[in-house]
Amino acid sequence: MAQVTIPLGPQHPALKEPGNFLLTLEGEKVVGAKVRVGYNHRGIEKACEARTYLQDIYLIERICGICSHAHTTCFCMAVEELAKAEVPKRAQAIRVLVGELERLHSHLLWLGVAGHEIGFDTLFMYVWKDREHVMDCLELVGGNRVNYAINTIGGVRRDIAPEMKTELLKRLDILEERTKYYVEVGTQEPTLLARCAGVGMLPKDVAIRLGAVGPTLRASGVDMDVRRDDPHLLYGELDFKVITSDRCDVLGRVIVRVLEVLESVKICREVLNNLPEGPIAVKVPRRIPPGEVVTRYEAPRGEDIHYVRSNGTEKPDRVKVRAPTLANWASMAHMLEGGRLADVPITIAAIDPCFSCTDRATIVRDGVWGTLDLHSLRRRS
Amino acid sequence: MAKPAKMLGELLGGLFTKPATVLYPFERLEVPPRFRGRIAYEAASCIGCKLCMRDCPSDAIRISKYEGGSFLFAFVSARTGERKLVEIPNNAKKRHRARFRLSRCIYCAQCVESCPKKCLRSTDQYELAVLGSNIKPPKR
Amino acid sequence: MESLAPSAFSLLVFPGFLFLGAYGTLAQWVDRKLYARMQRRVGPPWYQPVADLVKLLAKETIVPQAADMAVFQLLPAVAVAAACTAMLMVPVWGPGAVVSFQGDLIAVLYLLTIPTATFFLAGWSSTSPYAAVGSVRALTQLFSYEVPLFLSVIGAAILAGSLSVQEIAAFFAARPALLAVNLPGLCVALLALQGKLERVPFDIPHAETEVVGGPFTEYSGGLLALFLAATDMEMVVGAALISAVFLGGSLGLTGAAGFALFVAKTLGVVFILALMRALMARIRLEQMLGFCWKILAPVALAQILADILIKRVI
Repeated sequence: MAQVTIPLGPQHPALKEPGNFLLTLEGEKVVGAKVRVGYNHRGIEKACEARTYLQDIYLIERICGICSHAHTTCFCMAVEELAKAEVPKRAQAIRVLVGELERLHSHLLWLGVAGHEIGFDTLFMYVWKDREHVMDCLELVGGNRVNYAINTIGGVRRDIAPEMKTELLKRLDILEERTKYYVEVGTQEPTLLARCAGVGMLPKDVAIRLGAVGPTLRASGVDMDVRRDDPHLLYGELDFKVITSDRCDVLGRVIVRVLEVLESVKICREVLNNLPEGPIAVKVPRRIPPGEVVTRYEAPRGEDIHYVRSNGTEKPDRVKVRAPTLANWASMAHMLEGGRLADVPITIAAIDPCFSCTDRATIVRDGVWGTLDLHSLRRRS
Repeated sequence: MAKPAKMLGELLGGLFTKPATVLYPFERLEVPPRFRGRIAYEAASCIGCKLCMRDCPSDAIRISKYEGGSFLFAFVSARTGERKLVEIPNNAKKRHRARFRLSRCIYCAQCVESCPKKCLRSTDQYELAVLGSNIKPPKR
Repeated sequence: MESLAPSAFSLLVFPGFLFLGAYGTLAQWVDRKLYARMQRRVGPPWYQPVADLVKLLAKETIVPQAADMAVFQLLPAVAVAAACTAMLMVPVWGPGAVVSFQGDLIAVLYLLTIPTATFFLAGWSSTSPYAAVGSVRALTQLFSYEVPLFLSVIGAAILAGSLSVQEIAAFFAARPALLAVNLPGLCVALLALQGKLERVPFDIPHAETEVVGGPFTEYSGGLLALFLAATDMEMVVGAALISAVFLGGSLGLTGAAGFALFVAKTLGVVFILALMRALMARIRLEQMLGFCWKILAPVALAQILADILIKRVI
């Protein structure tokens, strides 16, 4: 049969953000896939160098709408380590609380989007209706439904009042009940099972070799989670399970994410019921002593790495962000090839791609792909 | 094990319950108490330290000295777009004024925290988009 | 009773073009409103489908340069014409259809196949990769739902001993108890109709997240309006056919009472179709082929067997 090359994107109803997948099709079978990203590059890392650390928090927050807290926490942890500041326990607890609420938010959003990609708009509408509870919780704590800006260098900006705590606990109960219903739907609805089972296979050894992170990795049977392996904030003292699945396909990723929602609800309850007393921030001087640091954080999509280098002034020398989705793209080409065209949207959606997180630095010089190192890049700017 | 028509109960129930949609603008949701909306500025307490300007991530606030008589404040209605000039008398204490560029502001409320005299606060106004072709950009 | 000469009134106004167009918009609204309510949303107001049609007619029609001009522009009209012609043979006002002859059941089914063929040709003549994939899918899907639909309808026809829609409806109107025999056939026909109308779970040809618009990707303006009107009309004709063959039609009542029953039954079928749309996700093409050939077709065959045996008894 003749081979047809279809471009999926950059504008396509399946994609929430621009990205290009060049699919070579033979009928319905995908025989070749080329992943091209970079449409959302905004020059955030360069912009960070022109602003102070405090202003950079808000810039870093806007790398992504749904992992905004993950990025700011990672960045603040890096700067606090450079400044040798000791963040109070209450601040860390509040950071954990907002981080887990954000994980809830992100996974529920993803479940709805996955439903839409397979044509199950009913699941999409129902899950997003329940997502409103999380957004209301976050609005109560942070002041805004998305981009909650709860972090500052040295701690958090806002405290949790007792009446907020009762409201949050009430909503967490509602969410837990609804999520249990979605676990049932995810494992019992036959059309959903038909679309997700056996699709987008990523065997365990390939996942490790290609560097997958997050739920994509855990659904391939690899037990890795930065919260447990490299505990930051209060995760070392909290009791939670790392959810893995041996299915290695999209259905495994659905199950991992939905069960992670239930774990996050447990963590939120534990934190809320045992909030340590104390201040919510320490004062950190504006000038950060020179040094360089790498921090890791378990964002909803996987491991988020920030590198910050300071030079003694109040502006950073270099900020580098390696978002989790960037690590998952290599596995994407492997998952798409050999599949069918009908499976492409759900396979792409199953790694929970955040194109905005991904695009940090790709260089095209005179139409030829290449890489520039930092000094040649600095000379050009 | 698959159960066909798993969501049937919920769907049929949905026919008899009120929809989850909030019919904005006829119905509005309550915003929580510490919602970060438009920033309000109290000129009487401002000492002109410009810490808010330093810390604003998007260069949305400008503090400047103000000499002279009463304030002539151009008020633009958010709903109708009509433009009114309001005169506010100047006490001797008012020495500074603030100019917010609402299109640049990201409503992070960092200025609210940075201000040592607490003369900035977040309001709960979020309906800040204006319709109308009679809105002219301010003269710089 | 045979009648072969429709008047201009019945061709153009009732139950022909104008009535079918208006009733199609009503059916589309009922479908969308029920679908929305089941998802806890408000749903569109009653005039939404009309507003959509008017909006489309007001937009510019863009034809791709590489497309075959005449075929591209003629196909929507062919689809609408086929749907309207099929409606003439289904009883609407009372127990009699406008055009009725032995074998008009086959004619209705054949006329309902024409719109799908136009979808295929539309996608093919668009010369866009998305449209080409969508049109091939539409044709492949045709091979899966067409046979169960035919078989289930033939089963009821065997029991009634006639190949004319009007006579089948009259037969069941006189013996309503026998309607229960054809219940499996009814289920098969409803599922097959959902496939013919290309709605979830069988909306594979124009799966928005996979092939953008499928065969309709390059269609815009008035041509798209005609195609969408054709799909609405197909839904009405399909619902009317099912209510005549499996639900006894107007049950012998004439005049306004018969028409009210017609409206109630067709809207009831539309409700079931909307429920199916809300309940399930979109399945893949080879899964649909498997489902239709391994489950629907055997059930329909068993139905025919049951009908033959019962026919011998009564």
